[in-house]
Amino acid sequence: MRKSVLYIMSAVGALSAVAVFGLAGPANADSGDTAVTLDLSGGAVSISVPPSASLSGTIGTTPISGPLGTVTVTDNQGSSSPSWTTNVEMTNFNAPSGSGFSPIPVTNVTYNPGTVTRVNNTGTATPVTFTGESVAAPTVTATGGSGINSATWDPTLSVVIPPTAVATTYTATLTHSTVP
Amino acid sequence: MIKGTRRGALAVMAGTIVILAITAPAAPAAPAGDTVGPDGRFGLRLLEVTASLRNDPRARQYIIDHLNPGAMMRRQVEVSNSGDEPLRIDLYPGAASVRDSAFRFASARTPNELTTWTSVDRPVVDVPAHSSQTVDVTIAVPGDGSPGEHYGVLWAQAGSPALSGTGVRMVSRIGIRMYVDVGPGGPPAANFTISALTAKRRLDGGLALDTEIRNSGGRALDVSGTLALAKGPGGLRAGPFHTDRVETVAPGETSPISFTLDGGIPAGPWTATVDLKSGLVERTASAVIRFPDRPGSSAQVLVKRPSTRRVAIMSAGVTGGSLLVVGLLVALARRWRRRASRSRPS
Repeated sequence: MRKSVLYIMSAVGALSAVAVFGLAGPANADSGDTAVTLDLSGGAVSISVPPSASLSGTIGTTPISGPLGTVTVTDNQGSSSPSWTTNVEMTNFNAPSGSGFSPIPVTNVTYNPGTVTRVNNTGTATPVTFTGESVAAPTVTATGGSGINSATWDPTLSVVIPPTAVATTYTATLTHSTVP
Repeated sequence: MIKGTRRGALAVMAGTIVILAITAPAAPAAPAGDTVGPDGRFGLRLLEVTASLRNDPRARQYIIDHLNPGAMMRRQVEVSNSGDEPLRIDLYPGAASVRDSAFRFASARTPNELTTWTSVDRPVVDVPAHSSQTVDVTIAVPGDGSPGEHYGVLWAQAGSPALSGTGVRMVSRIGIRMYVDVGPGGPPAANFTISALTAKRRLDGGLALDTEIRNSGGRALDVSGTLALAKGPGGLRAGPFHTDRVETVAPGETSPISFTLDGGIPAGPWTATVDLKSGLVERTASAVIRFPDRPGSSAQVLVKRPSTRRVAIMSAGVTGGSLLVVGLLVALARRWRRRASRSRPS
């Protein structure tokens, strides 16, 4: 009777340690114990894809600015010290191909991340004035506490319209890149 | 008999407490009360880890491996679409480098040596709404691949549809870092040293503890860790405080590591213990420091015990050891009980 009490206590002690802390342990063949293992695998890092942003303005008005749509980065990897940076890079605003009109250079464009809504991370948000076509610059950084974290921001774009610009459609591509 | 049982039970409890003490710091802290925002539209994650690196947290997150020239490796990644619309996702490798204490990735599809060795079985994947697809990544190092560690990013990219009028087409991409070491034989060892500690009071009154690490091994490191303050005024303890950032350090480089602390913490003296790690490589250094009363830096304090041990504790090992201890205690308890019953027959 007492022997069994002892066995139960030892089994409970070992099992609770294994179960509570989710560590794998070899099953005890003698007493038929089952080791309970909780193995959490990491999730994905994900990013939103805002729809195309339209900017419109009138010749003679400068700068033109407008919202780009909400960007959300979610780090579900569940690492002990998460850290990520989002870079932005952009092309020139090109006039329709074959039109012969010169582009509005990307150096006239400023990206402002605005206020970043963060969950379980801290970091910086830096406005970027592009220095060249497809030259990436960091804008939002995040260093998280252990576990998962996310950041959401509503960037705006401001474009200085040069006097040489004409009334036509100008298009550009802006890329958000994140590597955790 | 009763005495023996009690002693046995006590011994078992002592064993359990020892296990708690060992494993408690490894238990992940729950995220702060708030819930994490909605998933982004699409995600990317690594599905496979090299068997020999299974316990390395970096290898679970990044594509890390050592390959001999002429060798090949394959990994599975998962691209997921959490949106309500199907999404076309491009997968491709891009160049990256490690310098100035950071992992830096190049713009667009900039190539480097590693990207020319890297291929994906499906460069364009159509992922239906709320589902995911698996893609194979192959890295084949040619026989004349240059030795050393090569860096890159495996990108998953999706964009908004083409524009109809004036505006900006938005493209988002997310990447997995690649650290691929090439050379004959096994991989070079990872190693780093912690140099002196410097206690500072910033102009805004906040406190900081700075140190510097040197990557003395052959692999890039992603270093982060904690600072604990002990034996302070009146026996106070404070911490653990986390490093401000994860610093990525190339072999042979040095990198500053900073801890930012609240200005309300007493000036000291404190025994500061810095515990830094990159994957399974862990280094500890401690020194007695005092934060300056006015803004400025204190003199650098040399660390007392610059640790040179390579600490690679695997949770399985810890648990196995703990269970062994419990088993031994149970066996001992049984022996005590038997001895007790022999000496005092009931």
